[in-house]
Amino acid sequence: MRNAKVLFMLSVFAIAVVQIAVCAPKPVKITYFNTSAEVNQVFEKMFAKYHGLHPDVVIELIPTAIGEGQQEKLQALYASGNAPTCMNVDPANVLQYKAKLLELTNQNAPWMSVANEGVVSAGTFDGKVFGLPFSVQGYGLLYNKKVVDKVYGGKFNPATINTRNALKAFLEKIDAAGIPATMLFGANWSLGGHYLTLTYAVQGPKTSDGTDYLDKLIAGKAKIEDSPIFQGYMDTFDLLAKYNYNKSDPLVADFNKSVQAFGEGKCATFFMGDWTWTTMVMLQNVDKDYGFIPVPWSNNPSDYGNSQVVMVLPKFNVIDKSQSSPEQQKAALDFLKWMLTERDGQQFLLDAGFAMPYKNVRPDVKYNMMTQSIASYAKAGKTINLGCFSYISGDAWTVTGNLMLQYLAKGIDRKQLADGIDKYWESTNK
Amino acid sequence: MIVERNLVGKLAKHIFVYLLLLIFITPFFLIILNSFKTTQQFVTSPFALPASFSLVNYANAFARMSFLSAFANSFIITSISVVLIIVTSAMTAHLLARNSWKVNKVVYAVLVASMIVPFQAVMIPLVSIYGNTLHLMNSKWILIFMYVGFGQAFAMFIFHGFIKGIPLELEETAFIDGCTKMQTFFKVVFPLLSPVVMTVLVLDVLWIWNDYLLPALVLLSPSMRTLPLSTYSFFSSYSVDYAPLMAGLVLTIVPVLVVYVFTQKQIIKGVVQGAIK
Amino acid sequence: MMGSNNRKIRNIGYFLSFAGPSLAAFILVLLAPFVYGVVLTFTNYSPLSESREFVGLRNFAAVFSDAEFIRQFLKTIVYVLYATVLSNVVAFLLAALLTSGIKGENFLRGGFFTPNLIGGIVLGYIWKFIFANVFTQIGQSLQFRPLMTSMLTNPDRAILAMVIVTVWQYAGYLMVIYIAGFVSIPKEIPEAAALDGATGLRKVIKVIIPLMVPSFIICLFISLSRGFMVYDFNLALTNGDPYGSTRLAAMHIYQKAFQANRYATGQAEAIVLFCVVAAVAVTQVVVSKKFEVEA
Repeated sequence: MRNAKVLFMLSVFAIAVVQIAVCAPKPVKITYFNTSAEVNQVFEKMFAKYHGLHPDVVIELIPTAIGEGQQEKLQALYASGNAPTCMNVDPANVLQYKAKLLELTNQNAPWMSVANEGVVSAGTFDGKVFGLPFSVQGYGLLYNKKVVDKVYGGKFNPATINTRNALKAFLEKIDAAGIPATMLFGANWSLGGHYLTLTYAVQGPKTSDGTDYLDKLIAGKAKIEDSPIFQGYMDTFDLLAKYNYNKSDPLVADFNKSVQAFGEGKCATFFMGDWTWTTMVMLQNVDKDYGFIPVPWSNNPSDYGNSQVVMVLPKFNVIDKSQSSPEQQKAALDFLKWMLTERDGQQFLLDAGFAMPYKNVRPDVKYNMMTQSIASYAKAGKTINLGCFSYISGDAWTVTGNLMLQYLAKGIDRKQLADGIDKYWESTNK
Repeated sequence: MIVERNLVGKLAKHIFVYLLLLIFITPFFLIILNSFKTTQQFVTSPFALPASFSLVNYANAFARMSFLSAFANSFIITSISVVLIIVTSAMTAHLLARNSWKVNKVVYAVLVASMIVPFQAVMIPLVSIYGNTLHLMNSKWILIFMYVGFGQAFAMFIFHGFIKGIPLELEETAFIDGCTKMQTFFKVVFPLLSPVVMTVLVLDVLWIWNDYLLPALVLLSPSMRTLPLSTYSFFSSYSVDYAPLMAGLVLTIVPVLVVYVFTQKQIIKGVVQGAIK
Repeated sequence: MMGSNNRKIRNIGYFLSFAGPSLAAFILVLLAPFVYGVVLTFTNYSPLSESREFVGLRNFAAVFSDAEFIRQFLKTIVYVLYATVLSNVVAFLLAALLTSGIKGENFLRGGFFTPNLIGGIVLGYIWKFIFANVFTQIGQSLQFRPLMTSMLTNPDRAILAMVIVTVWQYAGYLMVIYIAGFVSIPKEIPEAAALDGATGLRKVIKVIIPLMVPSFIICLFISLSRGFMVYDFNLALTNGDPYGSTRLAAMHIYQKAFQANRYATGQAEAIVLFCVVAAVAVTQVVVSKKFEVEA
């Protein structure tokens, strides 16, 4: 009899446990694929904080390997049925994976309206919004204020550089003072992805101006050497190469070293973007004041591109719909809303030094000098629209960048460079 | 006269070898030296002595790599995979070396040829089958199974060559004494293979311990990361955070160095025993 | 009749018990995916599109019209030749020296093997730093022209840099195998040869080398196949720089498959690479097995 009683109690207990287990809300698990490797740790802290606020959601970071490993990792994840729920990827990837991504609408993501002007349209492809960025970055010719002001014997006014002649005079003056006037970074993404893209973007202020031009190149209907913009930028490039701090060995692309040299005042300018700050801030005994000057391509001060710097939305946060459940999608949307438009979430990225293109960012944020410079150009409406950059995918900047590197190392001449670029674009014509 | 020449020759030999060693070791010397400096100091003057032998990089690396968990994962995966590879491939090698059946020739050729298959020819099909179709990813055991599969060819290849060097009479004697094929293998052949077993052990341990790509594809959760995966945080988009990376490297290398020293001792012991016999 | 059937069943049992587990793992992990991969090269599959239409030999045609693949493949062959010969020569010498009774042999063996303790990616980054900074500092202080600029910024010297790093790493690895080979030679054999009057170089050539043939087979095979498939330290050391000239075969394939989004072409190139290297390596093994001597 006693045995039966014990058995009965055990069964009740077991049933109770099972009931509780079944009824307890199961945490929703989502994964986040991050291609901005320098902020992996920021994301981990962010996910921990978010989990504290929403214990029913668990977010796991999928960090990426260096460089090319990112594309293959993402494709392998898709192929293995483990596509990340949420991803921070290049705009070219957004285009590539478009069919698998969740469309953001005013119904499922009404908070989109908090984004700055132009941000939502940048994330729009084929009329549908697929993603939003967490940062806005810029590039141009970075200059070390201390070094330049010393040469000019006072405050230097960057607005005076709006023609190639003005740039030439500027560089010569610094060179005469015994300081290497500029520094080019010998990597294909810098010269092919950033410098050469200026040629396409400056064709006109609209994104379609750039993409139309690229379409012509791809179809073989235009040759890049016929573009005065291309020739202009290459003349400026030759000028920059003449005073390049890395001139003796221009293809050594050690970012740590270059940033350090720039910070120590060993050269006056650096063709790079404001993300340089994330590396600069780790160094000691370096200068802290920087600004940007434009990279002019002609001698007509009113030409588009001569007095502007580039502002670009480099990465987009997108959500996969092909391998995720509705709960996961909702969890991802809620997380993005928190990260991009709510004070707590935004703080993480702001602390990491990013400028976030959202209207409700707290006004008392102190950005670093480089980002401040870009912001002031933006305020004055003097930015180059790099929208066509989103449509440049695949190995474009590796191949064209390698050609630029060969040109820099004086391995090929400008005609060969132009022919190589034409050949590449035509080869992508399906 | 002859004694003098021998002595000079011996001295020259010693000097040459130790000098060569010094050159070989320089990169390690750099790593260890710079694990006590900051990245900036490393970039500016790699050979300078550190200001102090502070362990701050080690503490940093230890935390950022979740060292204990990564170490445990690496340890479990490596040790189980290697043991399984050695036992299974030695047996296969023995079968192939001692029986010249037609099927054996084919199996041998296929295994050897498979060593040249580039990993990316197999990568996507592999993850597609195991992930998409079988939903078997994100598990240590699947990873171990994959290592056993991938490790067969190389280990078998090495064992095969050395088994040919073991006199057949030894096995025949055991067989006559009433041992089954299995017993003969484990009692007679395997012990004689001990230098080779140790060699395969150390080479496979190194391969699996340092492998990045396969675990990156199969182990998706952060808690499952192995040591190489956990060093990801030192590499950013444009630059490398050398200081903690160096420290992390030293931490990763030490266990394997211990294994190597141990196996070298065993190899010597095995040889000495063989000589006495 | 009964006897031979029994024999057959016993042999099958023997085969399955000895080779069963290992072959099962091999087939399920390597062979099956490989065959599946080959099948995919006849389709237009891509991890993104998941379509699988049969396209015949189009991908293979694309391989042969990819001039860069052919160019880089030839470069890979050059690299493999230099790297294989040099690393094996150094490894063999080291193994011979380190089994000849030098003081501190064990320590030395450990020392030369240490380059293998680091994985490919980190190895590449460290050496990249060394070539760009350490070598250049040495070159500049000695005013030695070839070293004043980084070896990695010139196509030919960059390949040489890759050879140097490969030899540095593999000399110790191959040395371990050669040592196992030296150590497995029963002591009686060289002693008997010495009694028979063979000394010094003669002894080496006629006696030791033939017994080392298994080690040669293994080491040559390893260096050849690893050489052709070099990828992760290629990526870390040069990343194909300068301007893509050191993007050897495996790296080119990765880039084609994943970066240029020509997955099927990349896969086909991988198969072609495999066939060529297989032909080379299997030939090497078969030819050298003819020199094998059983103890």
